[in-house]
Amino acid sequence: MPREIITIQAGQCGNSVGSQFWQQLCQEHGINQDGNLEEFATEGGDRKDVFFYQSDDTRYIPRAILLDLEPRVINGIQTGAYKNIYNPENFYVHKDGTGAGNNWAAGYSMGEQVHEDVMDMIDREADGSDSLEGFMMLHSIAGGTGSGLGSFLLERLNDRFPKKLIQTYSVFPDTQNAGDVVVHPYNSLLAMRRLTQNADSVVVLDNGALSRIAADRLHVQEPSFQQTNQLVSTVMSASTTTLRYPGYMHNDLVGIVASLIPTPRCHFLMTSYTPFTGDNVEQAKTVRKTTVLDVMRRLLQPKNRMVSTNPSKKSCYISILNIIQGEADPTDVHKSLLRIRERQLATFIPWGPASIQVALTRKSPYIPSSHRVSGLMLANHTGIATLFRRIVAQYDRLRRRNAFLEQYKREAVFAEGLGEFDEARQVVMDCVQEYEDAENADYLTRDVSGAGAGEKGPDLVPQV
Amino acid sequence: MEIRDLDDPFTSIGLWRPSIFSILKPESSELFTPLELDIPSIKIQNPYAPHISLEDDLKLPDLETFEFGPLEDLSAPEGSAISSVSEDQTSKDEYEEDIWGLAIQKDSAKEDVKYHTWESFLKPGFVEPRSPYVSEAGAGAFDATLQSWAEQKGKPVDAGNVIESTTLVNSLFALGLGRSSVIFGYDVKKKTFIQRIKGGRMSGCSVESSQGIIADMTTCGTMVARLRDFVERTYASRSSFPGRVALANAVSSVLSALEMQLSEHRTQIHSLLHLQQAYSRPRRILSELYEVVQLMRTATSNEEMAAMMFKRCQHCEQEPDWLRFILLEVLKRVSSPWLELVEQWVGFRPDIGFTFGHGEQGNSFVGWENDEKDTSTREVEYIFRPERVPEFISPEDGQMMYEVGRSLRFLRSHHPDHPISQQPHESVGAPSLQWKFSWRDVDDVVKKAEAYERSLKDALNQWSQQGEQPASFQAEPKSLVNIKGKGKATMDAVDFLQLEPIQTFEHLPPPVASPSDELYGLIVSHAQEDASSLDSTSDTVTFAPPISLASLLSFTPLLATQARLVNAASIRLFFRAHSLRTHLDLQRSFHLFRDGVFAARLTSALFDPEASTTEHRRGVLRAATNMGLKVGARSTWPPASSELRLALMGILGDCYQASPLFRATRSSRTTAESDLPGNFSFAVRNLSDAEAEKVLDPHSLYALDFLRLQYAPPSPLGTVLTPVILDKLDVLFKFLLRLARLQFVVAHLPRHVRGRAAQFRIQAHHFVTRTGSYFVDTGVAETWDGFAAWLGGVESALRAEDESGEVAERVSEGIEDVRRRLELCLDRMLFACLLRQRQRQVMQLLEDIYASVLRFAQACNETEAVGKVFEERIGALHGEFEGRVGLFLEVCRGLGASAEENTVERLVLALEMNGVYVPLR
Repeated sequence: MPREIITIQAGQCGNSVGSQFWQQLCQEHGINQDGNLEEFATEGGDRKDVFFYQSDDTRYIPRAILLDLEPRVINGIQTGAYKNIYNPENFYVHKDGTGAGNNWAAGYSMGEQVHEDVMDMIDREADGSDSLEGFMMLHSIAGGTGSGLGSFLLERLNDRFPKKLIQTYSVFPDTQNAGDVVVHPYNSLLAMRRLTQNADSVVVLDNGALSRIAADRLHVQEPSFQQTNQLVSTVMSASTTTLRYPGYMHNDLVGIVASLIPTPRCHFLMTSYTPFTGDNVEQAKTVRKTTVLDVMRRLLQPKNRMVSTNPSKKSCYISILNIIQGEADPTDVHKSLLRIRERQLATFIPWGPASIQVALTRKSPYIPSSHRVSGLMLANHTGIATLFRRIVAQYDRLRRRNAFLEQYKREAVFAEGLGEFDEARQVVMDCVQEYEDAENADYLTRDVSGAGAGEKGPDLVPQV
Repeated sequence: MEIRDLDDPFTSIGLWRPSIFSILKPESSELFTPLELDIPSIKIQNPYAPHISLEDDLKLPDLETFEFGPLEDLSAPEGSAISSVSEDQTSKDEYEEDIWGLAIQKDSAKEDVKYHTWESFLKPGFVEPRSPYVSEAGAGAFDATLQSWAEQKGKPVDAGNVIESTTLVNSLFALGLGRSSVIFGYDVKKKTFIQRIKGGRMSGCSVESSQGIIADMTTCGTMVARLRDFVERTYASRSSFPGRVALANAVSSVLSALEMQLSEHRTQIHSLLHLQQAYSRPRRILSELYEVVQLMRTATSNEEMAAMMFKRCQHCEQEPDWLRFILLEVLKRVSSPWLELVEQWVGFRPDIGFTFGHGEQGNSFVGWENDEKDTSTREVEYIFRPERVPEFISPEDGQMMYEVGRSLRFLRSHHPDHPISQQPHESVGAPSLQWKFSWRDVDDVVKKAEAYERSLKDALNQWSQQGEQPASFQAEPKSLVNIKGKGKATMDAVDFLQLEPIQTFEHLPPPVASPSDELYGLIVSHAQEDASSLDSTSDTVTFAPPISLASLLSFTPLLATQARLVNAASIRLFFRAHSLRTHLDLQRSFHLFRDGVFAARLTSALFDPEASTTEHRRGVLRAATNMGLKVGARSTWPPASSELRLALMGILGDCYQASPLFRATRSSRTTAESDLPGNFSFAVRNLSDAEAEKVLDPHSLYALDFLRLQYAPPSPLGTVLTPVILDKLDVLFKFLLRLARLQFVVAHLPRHVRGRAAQFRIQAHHFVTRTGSYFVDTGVAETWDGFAAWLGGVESALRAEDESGEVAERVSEGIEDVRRRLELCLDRMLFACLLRQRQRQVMQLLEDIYASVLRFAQACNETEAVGKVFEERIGALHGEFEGRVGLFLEVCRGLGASAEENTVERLVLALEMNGVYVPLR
C-alpha cells in the first residue's frame, strides 16, 4: 500500500515546473527517458510507486495529469526529452487552445466545460491506486489557467475526495516589482480564497523571492522562468524525499502535514533550500562549506526563503521541518539546534510547544553531489500573512479604480455582480487575521465560537 | 755455581754459562734415575713370584718405543665368563668402596687399647687427670650420670632407655622412609608411627634430644606413609580424575626418588646428627608435598588442582631454589591434564573424540547449553564458564581460549576442508602448552609461536590461492604423512632393537625411574645439601620471571597466535560464506525499522482505518487487496490469527525483495526465492498472563504487544545472533512498534477541533513526534550506524589484507568481537530508548503519557467530538497529560544533567525550544 499521490499540473507555469519535477524524479530514481529502470539503478530501498505506477511493460509512468488551456507548454513536453514517460491519456489541452488570457474568471469558467473530461482522468488515476493518499497541484496563481482552472479543480477535488489530502505548490506573483500580468492581484486574490478553503497545505513559492534568489545565487540580472522553475522543482523533489526514500518518521504526506500544520487554517508553508549551486542550477559555482549547522543556519535566514515577507517583531514560527540530506548524524543536528537556540535564530509561537523537527533522509545514489549536506526547510511562519496583506492591498488599489474589471464581468462567475471579489477578500483577510492571532499566547484559548468562515469543511469525521 | 745465580735468575752476568740444571746431571739423559731392582731380595721376600725373567716383567716399558695396540700373544684368562655385571660397574663399585670406613670399623674393634700421654712415659705411676667435663667423659659417663640422677628421688629426670645406637639409627632411617622396624611400628588406625620402646634414647644423648629427633623422623615417616597411602588410594579409586592421578604420579615419583637418594647415603649415616642432616631436605620436600596433597583433597577438577598448585607455587617464590624447582615440576605435572584439555580445545592437539562439556569434561570451562529439549539440533551451543578457568589464566586469556575453541569448532563443522580445521599435526608444527619458568624458555615459546604462525599462514595462503576448493588442503597427503611418520617411528624402533646387543636386556634396569622424569632427577640431585650443583639451572635461578607471570609468559603467546589465526579465518568465512552482514542488516531493516517501506506498510496494514477489514463477517466477502487490522477503528480484539496472516501477508517478502539486501544476496542465495534469510516472519509472542490481559484492550498501548518478528539464524550465525541478542532486538521491536502506532495515531487525529482538544492535539502530536524521532534517530539509527561503521572497517581491512596476501595483520577481531560489539550496540540502544531495567520508572511515565494520547484519540473518535461531556472528558485527560509531560521533562532534565554519555538532553531540546514547559518547582 504505497500511499500514492496524484500530481495535477495546471497552466503554463504548473506544467513547466512539473516537467522539471518529473525529470528530476526520474534522475533520482534511475528511470531513463523511456520510463525504464537504468542498468545502474540497482540500489533499491526507494519507493517509486508513490509518484509512478508501472505499466504492463513495467515502465514507470508518472501519476501526473497535465492540463492547459493552450498548447504551447504541453506541446513542448510532448516533444521534449522525457515525452515518453507520460501516459498520453493524461494530457488535456483545451481543443480551442485559446488559453485563459491571464483571466482567473476565464480559467474558472473553462473548468466547467472541461470538468467531465478532467475528472474522468483524475478518477481513472485514483482508481488505479491501492491507497490514494492525496493530490499535489502545481500551478501559479497570477495568470488565468493555473489560477482559475486550478481554483475550480480544488473545489471539485474537495467535493469528490473529501478525505484525501490536497497539497499545492503555488507560485505567487512578484508583489514587489511590476510583473507581466497587470491583473495578477485580482487573479491571486480569487485563487487565494480556494487555497485557503479547499487545500490542506499550500507551499507558497513567491516569484519575487525566486527571482531574487536565482539572481543572487546564479549571478544573473534577470533569471529566466526556466531557472526559477528549476528552483521550484528542486524544492518539490526535496520536500518529497521522505516519501520517496522513506524512513521510520515522516514517511507519508499525512504525517508531514500534521507536523507542519497544527491548526488547519494556518496551512501556508514557506520554504528555504540550501545550497543552490551547480548541482541544482547550472551557473552557480559558489564554493561553500556545508556542515549541518551551516545548512540549518542558512535555512533560517530570511534571504533564503522563497517567499518575500516583511515580518514584524511578533512574527514567529508555528512549526519547522528541516529535511536534511547527506552526511548528517543526530549529533551534528543536536549541536546545531543548541546553537540555534543559543543565538535565538528562530522565534516560536507562544501558545504551544514548538521546535525544529529534523528529518534525516537518504540522498539519491544516482545523482552525484558536490555537497556533503543539503537541506530543505518547510516552515509555517506567521510572517506569510504580510504577503497576503500585500496582495490584498494591491487588489484594493486596482479595485478602487475599477480597473480591468470588464473582462471578468464577461464570465459566468461574475454574471451576477462582483460579490465573488468581496467574498474572496474576506476569506483572505480572515486568514491574515488567523495568522496574526497565532502570534498571541491566547490563540488557542480565546473565544472558541469565532470559528473562521468557510475553511475546508469541518473534519470531525472519526479518522482513527 | 754461585748462589747469586740462583738468587737472581734475571741477571745477565755469565749468560754464556750453561744452566745449573745442565750442570746438575750432565751424564744422565733421563729425567728419572733408572730403576735399580734388587732382584735377589725380591725373590726372597716373594717366594711365590714367577721365577722367570722377573727383571723383564718388573721393568718399566720403554716409553720411546711404546705403541698402543693389541697386545700380542694375550691369551684369555681361564674360567672367564660373561658377567651380568658390566666391567664398568664393577670397577666403579670397587672404586667407591669406602676403605677408610673399613679401617675405622676395624680399629674401633680394639676397644681395650690404652692411650698414653707423654707424662706417663716420663713419670711412671702417673695418673691421667680426669676431665671435669661430662661431655669429655664419653657417652658412658653421660649415661651413668643420667642414670644416677634419675635414681635420686625427687629429681625430675628421665633416664629413658638406651637403645643400641646402630639399631636406633637404622630404625630411624627406616622410619624416615616410612618403613616399620624393631623400634617403630605403623599404627594403621591412627595412621601414624608409634615407638615400641618408651623413652628410647641413644647413648650419650638426653631423652629430650633423642625424642626430638625421633619425633621429627616420626612425622617424616608418617607423611611418607600417608602420601603413599594417597597414591595407592588414588590409583585404586574410580572417581580419580586426571589431575589427581597426575599428582599421585608426582608424589610417587618424589617418594621413590627420595628413597633412592637416601639409600645411597645410607652408608654414611652413623649418628643422629648424620641422620638429621641427611633428612633435612627430604623432610622439607615431604612436608610441602604433604601440605599440597592435604590442600588438594577438596579439589574436584583438573583446573582446580592446577589453580591450587599454582597458588602454592607462588607462596614458594621465596623458598630455596631446590624446593621451588621441585614444586614447579609438580605444578607442571598436575596442570598437564588441564593443559591438554586446553590444547585439544584450542586445536594444538588432536581432538581425541570426546565432546566438550560432556562427561569427564563436564566440569571444564567449556560447557554447553543445558537445553535438553533441543538435543535434536545438530549444532552444539557451547557456553563459557569463566568460573572454571584457573586463576593463573587471566580472564581475558580465558575468554580468548574459549572463543578460539568455539570458532575452531565452527570451522571444523562448517568448513572441514579449511587448513585450520585440520587436526593439528607436526607438519604445521602445532605447539603445546607447557609451563616455562626461565626467560630463555619464554623466548623459545615466542619463537615457537612465530614459527607456528608462519607455517599456518603459508597453509592458509596456499588454500586461498587454490580458490578454496573443497578438500584441497592435503587432506590425503596429511594422513599419509601421519602414517608415514608413524611407520618411520616403528621402523626406527626396530632398527634400534636390532642394533642394540641383546645383552642389554640381561642387565638390571638402571635405578632411575625413567630418563625423562625430571622430577626424579631433580630430587636425586637436590635432595642433599652437598649436592649444590645448580649450575645446570643457573639461568632459572638468576632473574627468573616471577611465578605469577609464568602462565602469562608461557601460554599467552601461543594462545594469542592461535586466536589471531582462527579469528582471521572464521571472521572471513562468517562475512563471506555465511553473509553475516546481510543478516545483520536484515535485523536493522526489520527489527529496528530501518526499512521505511516496511515501516510504512506495516503501519498501514495495522492501523489504516481505510483499509478493508480482515474481519470475517457473515455474508461479506473479504476484499483481496489492501487489507488491514484497523487497530483503533474496530471493536473486536484481539484479531484471529487468520486475520493477522491476511493483513501482514507478503509485507516482509515484498520489502525484502525491494531492498538492496535482496540484490546483494542474489548470487549467494540457495533457498527458494520467496524465503527470507533466517525465515523472517511475523509471529505471536508468548505472553505472561498479566501481559495477555493488557493485550485484550484494543485502545491500550499494549494492544499490539503480541506481535513479534520471528527469526532463526541459520546454523553458524547463531554464534553472533545469540538468543540474548535476539531478545534485545525483540524488546526494541516491541517498543518501536508501539511508537509507530503512536505516530500514526497523532498524524491522524482530527484536525478541525478547537479549544482544549486542539491544545491537546497539538501537544500530543508534538510530544509523540519528537520523542519518536529522538528514539529512532539518536537511539537506534545513530547507535547502529556506529556499529555498522565498525563492521565496514573490519570488512575493508579484511579486503585489504587479502589483496596484500596478509593474514591477521590488520584485523585482530574475531566472531566473538562482532557479537560483543553487537550486544554493546543493542545495550546502548536500549539505554537511549529508556528500556533498561533501571530506567523502568521513566519508561513507565512515558508509557502513561502515550496511553493518555491513545485515550484522547479514542475519545475523539468514538463520541461526537463536541458537547460538554466531551469537553470535560478531554479536559481531564489533558490535565493528566500535561502533568505527566511536565514531570517527564523534569526527569529527563535530571537524567541529562547527571550521567555522562547521555543523550537525553537531546530529547529535552527536541521537545521544547520555546520555553513552553517551565521547569517544575
